[in-house]
Amino acid sequence: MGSLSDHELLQRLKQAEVAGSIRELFSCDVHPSPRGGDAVYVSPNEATRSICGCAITAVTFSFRFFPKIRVALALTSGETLQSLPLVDTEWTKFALEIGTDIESGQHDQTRLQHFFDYFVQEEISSSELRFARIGLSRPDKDGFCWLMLDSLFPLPQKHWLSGQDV
Amino acid sequence: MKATDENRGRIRGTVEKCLRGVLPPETPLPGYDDDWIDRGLLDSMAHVDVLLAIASALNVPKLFGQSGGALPTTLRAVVETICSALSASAATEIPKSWLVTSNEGASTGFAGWGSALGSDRVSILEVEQDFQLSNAVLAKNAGIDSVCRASAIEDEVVLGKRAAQQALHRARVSVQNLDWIIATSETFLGFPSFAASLHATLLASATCQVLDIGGACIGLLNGLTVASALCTNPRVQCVLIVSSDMHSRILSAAKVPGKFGGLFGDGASAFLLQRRSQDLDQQPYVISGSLGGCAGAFSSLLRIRPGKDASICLEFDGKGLARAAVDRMERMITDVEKACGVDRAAFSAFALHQPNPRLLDTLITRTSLPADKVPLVAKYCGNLGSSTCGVALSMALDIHGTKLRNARGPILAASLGPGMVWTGLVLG
Repeated sequence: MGSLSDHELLQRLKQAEVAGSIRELFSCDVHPSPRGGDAVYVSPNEATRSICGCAITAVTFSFRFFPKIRVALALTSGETLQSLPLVDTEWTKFALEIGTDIESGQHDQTRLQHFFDYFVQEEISSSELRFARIGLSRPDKDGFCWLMLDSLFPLPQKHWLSGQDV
Repeated sequence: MKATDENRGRIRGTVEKCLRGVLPPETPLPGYDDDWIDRGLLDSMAHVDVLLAIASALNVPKLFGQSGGALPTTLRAVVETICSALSASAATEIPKSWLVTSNEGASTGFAGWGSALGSDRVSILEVEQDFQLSNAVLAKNAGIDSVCRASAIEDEVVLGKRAAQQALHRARVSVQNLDWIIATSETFLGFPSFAASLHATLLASATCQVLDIGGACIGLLNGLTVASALCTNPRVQCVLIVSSDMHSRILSAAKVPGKFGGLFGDGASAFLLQRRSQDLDQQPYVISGSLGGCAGAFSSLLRIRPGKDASICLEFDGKGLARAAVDRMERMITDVEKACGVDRAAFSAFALHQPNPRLLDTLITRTSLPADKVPLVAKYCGNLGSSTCGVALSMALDIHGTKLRNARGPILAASLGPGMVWTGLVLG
């Protein structure tokens, strides 16, 4: 088996469904959480797919609930998706590595937040590979399928850590 | 500083309400020390959602997860976390309302108010003819009876001045005593700006400062929020807040589709916040709290901007906007209720934004609001933009604004606008 570069992988993913706006993601309206917070959901009866890609212009990470990570994305349409649960394993592993003290096993979300705010977001912003794949969760008890961030490009790079005070 | 038992009980009630929202109906609430995760009541995603819901209900956005410690997973731990957070941030008793501010006992209140409508009342039939709409689409689908349009001699400044003079007259305040004029309009585009134009037409003193505020339909509430903040400076005695919108000159049949343009009317509102020293029983309504935000996920449902050659570029998803607007307004009412600890039935009035009367009917039904507590504006005047909420609030204050404190309940003024920005103010 060969391997694909990030660029090649992204080219393949862009051949699948890609949306220019939030409504186009699943060909239906999204709804705000009735429980509070900024997460959004779709009705499984209305959605026509369970995953879709979109170009993004900006991203921010929140580690307040670390090791759970929430992400906010800005789409090229000018719309934003706040509080998307991050389920991309590459990114969650990367954050866990940085945010967990090797000796104590304790989380240091302040250091993690600072590193992402002042370095990682800049790396993403300056990348030509800015792209996200938004997926849907299984229906919950109310039949809501919540939007989640399945994949985020560019993927995190080990070399970002070199020379950084993390 | 310790939270009182009453406050602790209120906090616990709010936490339980939020927890109830994510648990299946048949699942009883966990005990005070039961771990939500260990007992399998919540997965980690739902846990985060509950904490966000609690923070949202209390309008303390970063309530959890700031200190870096483990997230609370029991009722006791959540209540303790909240009490600790508040004790650390406030050197005073925990306020009854956590809606950003608590002006209880404050002396800056609504001393005057007024409104002005375009003097030509046009039946919706005529509006439909103007826009060449058939099948009574605005009457049936939007539920509008008539709209108010400005006459040839009226504009934003004329209507704004008329509303401002009512507010000043009611408060018995001379225009020379104004410290600030805050103004908003979603249709006034020229310079000198709307606030400066009002300053000139009212002949306010040269030392009266002026401030223009944006936000379209939430512009008035933004203005009131800013005014309330300015009034924390004891040197500020009187602030006049004015909204005025003249849609008929901009959203004409030649520029926008009738299903959009035909919804709007012309009107203005004005409020005077004044510092007064008097006993609490006679205290006028004060802004006791505010909440708001911006849901960019819905920002594409309505976009409007000037195009070339004085045209209007409009993107308008009416159905999507209606759904998102009702959802958001419903949540705002629920959040205010939770955060105040006051049942919605105890409110005296709800001054709400009204994109159209049908939407208001839907909201009233979904939120079980008493219809007689919701002043109707759009049905008879059309959507007045930033002034819809203002005219409704002025109507509510006409009834309740001079009552003694113990004879009235709070008033909620709530609105939303393009970009899906929203603001709610509680007058107590």
